[in-house]
Amino acid sequence: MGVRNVVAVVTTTGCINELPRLISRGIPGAIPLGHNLSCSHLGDDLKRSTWTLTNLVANPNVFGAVLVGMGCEQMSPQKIYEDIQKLDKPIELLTLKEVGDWDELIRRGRNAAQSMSNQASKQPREKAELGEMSLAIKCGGSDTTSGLVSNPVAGFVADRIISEGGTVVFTETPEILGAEHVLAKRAINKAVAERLLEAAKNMERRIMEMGIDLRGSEPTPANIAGGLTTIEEKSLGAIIKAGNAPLQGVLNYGETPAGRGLYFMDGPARTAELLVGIAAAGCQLMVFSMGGGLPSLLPMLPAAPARFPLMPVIKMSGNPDGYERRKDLIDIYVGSVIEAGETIDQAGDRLLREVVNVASGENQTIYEKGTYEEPLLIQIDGPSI
Amino acid sequence: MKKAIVMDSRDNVATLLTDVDENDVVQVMVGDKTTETKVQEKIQFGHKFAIETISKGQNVVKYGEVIGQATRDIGEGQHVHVHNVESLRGRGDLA
Repeated sequence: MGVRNVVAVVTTTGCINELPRLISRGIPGAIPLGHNLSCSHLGDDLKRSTWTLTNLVANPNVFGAVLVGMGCEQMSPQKIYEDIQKLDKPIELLTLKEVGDWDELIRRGRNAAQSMSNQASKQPREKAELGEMSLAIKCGGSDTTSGLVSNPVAGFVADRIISEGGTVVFTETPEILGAEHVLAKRAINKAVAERLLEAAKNMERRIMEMGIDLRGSEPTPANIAGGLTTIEEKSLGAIIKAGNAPLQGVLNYGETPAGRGLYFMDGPARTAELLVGIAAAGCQLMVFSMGGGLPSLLPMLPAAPARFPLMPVIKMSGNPDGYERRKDLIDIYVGSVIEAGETIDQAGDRLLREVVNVASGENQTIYEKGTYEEPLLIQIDGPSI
Repeated sequence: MKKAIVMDSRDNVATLLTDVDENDVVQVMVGDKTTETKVQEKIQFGHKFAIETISKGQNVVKYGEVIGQATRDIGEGQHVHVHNVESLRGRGDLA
């Protein structure tokens, strides 16, 4: 069940990213989803982006999709179309090859998007249980208050949702370095533990091959200004956001979990790429746990300037330092744990209420209200040709 | 009184919950217990100081886990950060 009901206008190649914008313009609930992939990407990158876009359209927040392609690209529009059809959602496939004319393609795309928008607007909201939720949790703009306050508050909500039968997905492989042994102990079996340790090892190997010290990127200069000294310290604070539930599995980037409970996605920490991968995992909503400092003065998310209308993101900060300057830029403030003796559980109950209010459509998040749009960033590992 | 928190009883650093000046006496919370440490320098909110002497090469411990290694001797009450601690992970520069 979705918490939003958008019509996704998706391209199968970045060559035609202008089309989703022209097709969705002015149609209520229609969102343009161009992206960075094209025939310049090979092998695993092509496979990953195909399943990611398919799973993104499968996200329960998507009512239906208009899929637009060239008809000559490596990524198969037909394959995505057929996979989405199995999900029993409205989908329209239009390629320039079949339609033969740019303006005609836009006209047909707009008709399809408008028709889906009309159908979506007639659907009433339905009551849902907390256990039907798949929640994404990410931390960003971190400082030492993240591990002290906002990540424990997020962890409280993660545990509650999982105890009700729900799912929680967290990711950011660079940000388990130094804490992977702690997480691995919570894996449900040896295979899951090994997969997690392998993900961390691979990420570290790739960093090492560059011959550099990771410090400066992890932790970032803003993290360091906020008191985080090493990636180990950042990671140990970061994993607290995932609560205490057993780790059910490790997902590839953009992969949907097979069961319920806690899952880790092997993927980048960079917010813009992460949003796409974790929404493709079927998460309806994200909690973004922040510290203070410069990143918290952004009205958007650190490292993801464009809005991501497919999945609402709740920004939470637990840093009282300079809070007055940024109180209109965050959705929920939990620095009261430091300032006013509120307990983690009390702040967690407040966050859970906010999650429910945003899910039910009563509250719109600050990031959702943004207007700046840009193509999606999908993770690429190989060379651009 | 100015406060700091220790995340785990095995830790040798505390995290400050306020800005502090040189010679401030800080209340250090470790679980239900409280001790006091005199800080030796001006340190910002959210930054760490040593709650015991940490020798060069010794592990720096927070959350009960190793967060890095001291690159010089750090006295009790001194600022613990990138100037005297190095990370042990992602060190392609040493490979």
